[in-house]
Amino acid sequence: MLLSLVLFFSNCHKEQLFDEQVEDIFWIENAGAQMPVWIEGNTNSKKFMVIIHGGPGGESRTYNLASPFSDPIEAEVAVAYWDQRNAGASRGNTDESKLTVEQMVDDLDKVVDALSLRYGNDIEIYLMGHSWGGFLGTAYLLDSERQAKISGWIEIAGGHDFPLFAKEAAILMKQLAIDQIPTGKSVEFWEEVLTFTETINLQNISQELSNEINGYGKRVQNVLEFNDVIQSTPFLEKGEGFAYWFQSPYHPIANAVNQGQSNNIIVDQVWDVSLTPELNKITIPCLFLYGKYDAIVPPALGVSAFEKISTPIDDKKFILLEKSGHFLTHEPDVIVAEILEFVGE
Amino acid sequence: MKKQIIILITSFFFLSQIHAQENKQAITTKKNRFDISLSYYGEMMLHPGVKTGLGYPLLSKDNQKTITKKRNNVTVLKTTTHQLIGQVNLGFYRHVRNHTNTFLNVEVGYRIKLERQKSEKPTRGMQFEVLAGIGPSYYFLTGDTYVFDGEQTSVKKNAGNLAWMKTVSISMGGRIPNQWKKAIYWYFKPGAFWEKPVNLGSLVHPVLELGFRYEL
Repeated sequence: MLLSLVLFFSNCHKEQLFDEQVEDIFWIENAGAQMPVWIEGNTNSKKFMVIIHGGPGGESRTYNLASPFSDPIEAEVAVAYWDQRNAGASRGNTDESKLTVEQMVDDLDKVVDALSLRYGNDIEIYLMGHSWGGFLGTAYLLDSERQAKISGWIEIAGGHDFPLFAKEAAILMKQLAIDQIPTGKSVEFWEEVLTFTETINLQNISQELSNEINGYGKRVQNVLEFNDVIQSTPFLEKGEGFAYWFQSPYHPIANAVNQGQSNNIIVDQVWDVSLTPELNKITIPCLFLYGKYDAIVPPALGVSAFEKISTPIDDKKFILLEKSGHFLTHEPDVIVAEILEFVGE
Repeated sequence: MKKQIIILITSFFFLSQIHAQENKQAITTKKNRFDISLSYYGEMMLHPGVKTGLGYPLLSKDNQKTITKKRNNVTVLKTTTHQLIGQVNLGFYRHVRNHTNTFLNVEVGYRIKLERQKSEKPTRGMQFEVLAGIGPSYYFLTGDTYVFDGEQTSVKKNAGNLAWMKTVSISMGGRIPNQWKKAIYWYFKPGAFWEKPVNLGSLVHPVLELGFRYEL
């Protein structure tokens, strides 16, 4: 009786594949990992945008929770929220040797294949990589067979070149410190940033220093938000936090544990990896969105990618988000408008 | 002085007669009883589930004390019971749009029951427990699973995996007075379980149980 009850509950979800507001879930089992893919939004559009979340080791549900971003996009297209292996709500019995960029690229390929298997070969699939997702998405697109499955690439604050973003973050933070000290706001902090950045030898950034720069980048973002230089749009309505923690598919503890395990393992592999020399292999339509005040992954990376890819000029676009840092919630209206225009909605 | 001593002795005698007459009894040998329990099992508090268990006191020791109040001639029987308990449980919970987890486990722990029975009235009391357990669990993923195995792709329903869960919990509860003299307790039991393997290690799950235990 208990088993019947369990099977009843485990199947207790709507499996309507096509509608204007679908909530579907399926899993990818690949090389020991079981990764959830939640489909939310307008599947009637036959356009699917796969979220490649940040981290490494972050999770995808945050992008759904950021309703000023997700609601208007889901109204027009279907969004596939995929938790990468050893991240978010992913499960399985895997090991550290499988936590590699190559394996994660293969996982993403399986997500793309599963979307076509589930929703048909006539769907259009777009990839949207944010932060670390920008690295993973770019790595995926470097193979022409895989690239052929994708209708467009959207990179938001994507870090496809670790050495470049450490260097550019140091340069940007120094300039921000010089600009912000005369405003009289958070002067002590900016003086600390200035002192730190002046000691950096840009031609020789070690992994330890790269991590330190990243740490300063996060603090810079917080201070700029606090001083209203970066536009901050709250993405949690009253009461949503409770529901997010306790009643959504998200599991905060799993997310924290997975991030703690994955982040260092992956960063150790990629901290000195640059995909810039191979960007010319990308020929599909691309949209690059970078925040002017993003001291975590600075806009110079977007400019560089825009210039290096082989996509025809009419099919690529770079947008500098004037009041943004690293997150999508800073100027969601601009990001949403650009994405919907890009996917042809 | 003599008058004062007489008053003191009289007062002592009088007060002792008024307040109580205590009668400590030896350890009793009440027959141990199986109990069954049924509870709401909330992983992360609000991922709902059900847990049912069969328990038995492996060791039990009662200390009883009878207090008689002379003024209204009421006798109160106070019983303190220390138990080493064992329990076999079966349960599941559902994490919405994520997975359903089922489990079978054995818990052992310590229970203390503090009960009092006043004359013919129903027994009242409290119980406290500390428990640790272990057992297998099996989760079923919600929705279809696309399994990629080399060049082969298949779609599975209710795909899942076996894992182990270790549990710890504390519990507080009370005996529900009833006219049938049945030992029924409510309890509130916060705890946690460690699920292993999950990805590269284990995953801790906070749990809240609210339930009833009935001594057969």
